[in-house]
Amino acid sequence: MAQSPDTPSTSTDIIDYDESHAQSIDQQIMCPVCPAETIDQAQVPIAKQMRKIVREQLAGGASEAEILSFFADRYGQAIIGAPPKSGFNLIAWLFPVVALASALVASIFVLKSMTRKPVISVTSPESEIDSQLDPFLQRVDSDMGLGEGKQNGNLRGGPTGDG
Amino acid sequence: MASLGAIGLCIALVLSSYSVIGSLLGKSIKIPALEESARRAIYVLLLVVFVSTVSLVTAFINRDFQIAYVAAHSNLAMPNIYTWVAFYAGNEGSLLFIALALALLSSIAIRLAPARSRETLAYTVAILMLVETFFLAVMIFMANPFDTLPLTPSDGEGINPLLTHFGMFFHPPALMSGLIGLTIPFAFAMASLIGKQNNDEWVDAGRTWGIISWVLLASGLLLGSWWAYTILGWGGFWFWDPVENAAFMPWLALTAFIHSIMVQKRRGMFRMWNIVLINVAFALALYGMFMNRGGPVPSVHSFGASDLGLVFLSFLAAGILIPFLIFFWRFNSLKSAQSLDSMLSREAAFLMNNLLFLGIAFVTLWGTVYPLLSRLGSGEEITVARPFYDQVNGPLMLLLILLMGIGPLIPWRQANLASIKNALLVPTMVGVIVIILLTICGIHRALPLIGFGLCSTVFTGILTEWVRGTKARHHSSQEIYPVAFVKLVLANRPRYGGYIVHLAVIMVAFGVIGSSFFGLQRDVVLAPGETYDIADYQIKYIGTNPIVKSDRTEFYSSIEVDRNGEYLTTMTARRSFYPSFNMASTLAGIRSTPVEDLYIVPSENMPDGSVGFRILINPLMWWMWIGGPVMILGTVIALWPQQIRQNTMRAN
Repeated sequence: MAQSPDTPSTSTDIIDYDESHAQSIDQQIMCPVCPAETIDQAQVPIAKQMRKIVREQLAGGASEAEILSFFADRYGQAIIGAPPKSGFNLIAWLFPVVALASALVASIFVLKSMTRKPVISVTSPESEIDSQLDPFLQRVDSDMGLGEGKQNGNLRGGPTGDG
Repeated sequence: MASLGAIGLCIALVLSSYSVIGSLLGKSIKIPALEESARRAIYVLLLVVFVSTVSLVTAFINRDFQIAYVAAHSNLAMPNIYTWVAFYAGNEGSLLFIALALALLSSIAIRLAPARSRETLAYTVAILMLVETFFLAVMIFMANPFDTLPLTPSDGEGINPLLTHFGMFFHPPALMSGLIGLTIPFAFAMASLIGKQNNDEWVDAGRTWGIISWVLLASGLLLGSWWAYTILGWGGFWFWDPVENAAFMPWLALTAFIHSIMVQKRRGMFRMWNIVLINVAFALALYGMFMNRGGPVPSVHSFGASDLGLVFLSFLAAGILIPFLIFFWRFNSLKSAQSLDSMLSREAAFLMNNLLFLGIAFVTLWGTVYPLLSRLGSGEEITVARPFYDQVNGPLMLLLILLMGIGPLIPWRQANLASIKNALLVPTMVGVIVIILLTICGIHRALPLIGFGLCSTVFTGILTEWVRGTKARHHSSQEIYPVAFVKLVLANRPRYGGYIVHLAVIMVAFGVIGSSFFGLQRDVVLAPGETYDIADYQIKYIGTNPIVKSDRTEFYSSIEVDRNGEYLTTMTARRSFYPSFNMASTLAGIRSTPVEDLYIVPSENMPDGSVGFRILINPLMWWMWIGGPVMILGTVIALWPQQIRQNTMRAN
């Protein structure tokens, strides 16, 4: 399953580059004429030409960053499929992280405020499930009993749901 | 035919408006007969919209090119089997399809409405028919599928070649029904809110119709991926296209909803939150339908230039703003009936699930609007496409799988740490062993290792639950194991149906991880008789056989495949050229096994007879497509009513 450097003999005459690396670069560059498609997907001639340039540059020893900036210089930053992780565009990457983190904190606070004072748990029916089958049996049995009625019983504590 | 269909639409508009006004009036001045008549108008409306649909389909079958829509989306050469696809291939027809789907789903939902929702059913009817009125009005005044041309052309323009695929019979209808089907849980929720019920009455109908829309959307998305995989010719199945995203986001919000609604059903909690969720899902569904019609972002899916954008945008704005106002008007009735017992409980786990699903939906939306922000903020044109979503949403999805492993093992109300540790012990060990084995086998990249590890953990977790339950049942009732297993599943359908759906998700994840991280792709040009080696396969291009048809030339390339020197199979891949569209469509040759797909697609036919092929080895893809039917099976089990009689009422 692992990929090895491979040199397709027939597609092009350029040799000595890593085809899978070239493909991962293709997947970051947008096709200038087809909406939302990368040059890896697009089958129009210009995409084919751009794929060839990627391989030529790779074979010529250019790094991934160099190749990407080559295309960005030529076609504008919009040719790259993701905003650069620098300057103003850091917002694009950081905002989702910040938003999710604050949502997480907020929901923990909400859960805390919804939680009533901990009651001393007299029974913890699930603690013994693995060592003894009996409590589990009871649970299944109560499932069965509940299943006949309108309650769906996968609850182990048995609160009063509304069915 | 054209006039019959057009008249049908006008009658339907009258009926839906009557239904809205009659329901509200009948409810407010307490005339039950008016309310009931307004409700029954839905069934008549269904019939009328159905007649309009039939007349459009008939016009397609007769190739009645006097109708502009028929002339634009079919021609004489189109096989009759694609009539149904042509029907919704364009903007006007798809609006008619949506109107039909909403009328049908509304009729069923109202007819089978749970007794508890009866109090506020008039509001439900009014909301459903308000949405129906919008679509009918848009059709009649702006995009009438029955508009006629001044001169009847001798032949039509033909159907988009990309749509002549088996998947197109199901992918658009499933997605459109799923998107519009979301109106139903939304309508029940808002009706309950307006009617000042104590707000658990809508939960049964909301859950049922939420799950139905969910499975429609999920099937639509999977079928769309399958279509893209076989026909778009680049070997992938999902590329975060703006319209794919627009269908994906409501699905994400809906997934959060169908989990969270269980908390309200079982514990009477999260009342506000569920209302918010169904509103978010509904707004995203409206946005999804808007993206297809004059949306702001170019996409392969859009119906092309259309001035409906503004109208849909206004409807979207109203669809967000009005429920928002109702929500605050009724805010006080939304207090939870119970309080949370512990942070370590199923309830809390569901909230985390919601957070992740909404997080992914948010990232997706963020990616859609960010280019606009960048243009305003720094004046720079940038693109947010697949590389961004892969990097941000990928890890979030792995977190979701993790949660899918833990969540179902945590009991309601209050869990104790020791028991969770116990329940997680075996699954975690299996996950770790899988990671170690894969590392030994030479896989060293972190994301796929974690992905496979988590998948096997969740799989083991589900399996243990089944084994334990079956064993317990076997011991308690002395049933033989297979019987015990079936009865276990049947006795608690929501839970075990849910497990089956989880299993399907694992299958899809398995396919996605396998093909994204271990796929091998090569573009080669082969002359007839030439052979190319890829992985264990020797691909020998035999030759191409062109077949000229009235609207296209089909080039069938045959490829002989050997594996390790032994003959394996002969594959055929097709590339068709449509002169009238000046475009080509491809149909990949795919040999699919549970281990890997061998995928061959001709991307270019050279004049000298040689062909440019794209050849892919896509590991584990098979699992992704099998996941679809398994998911539908799980959903059916989860939804199968325990007792139909008790839960339904005769609406008439």
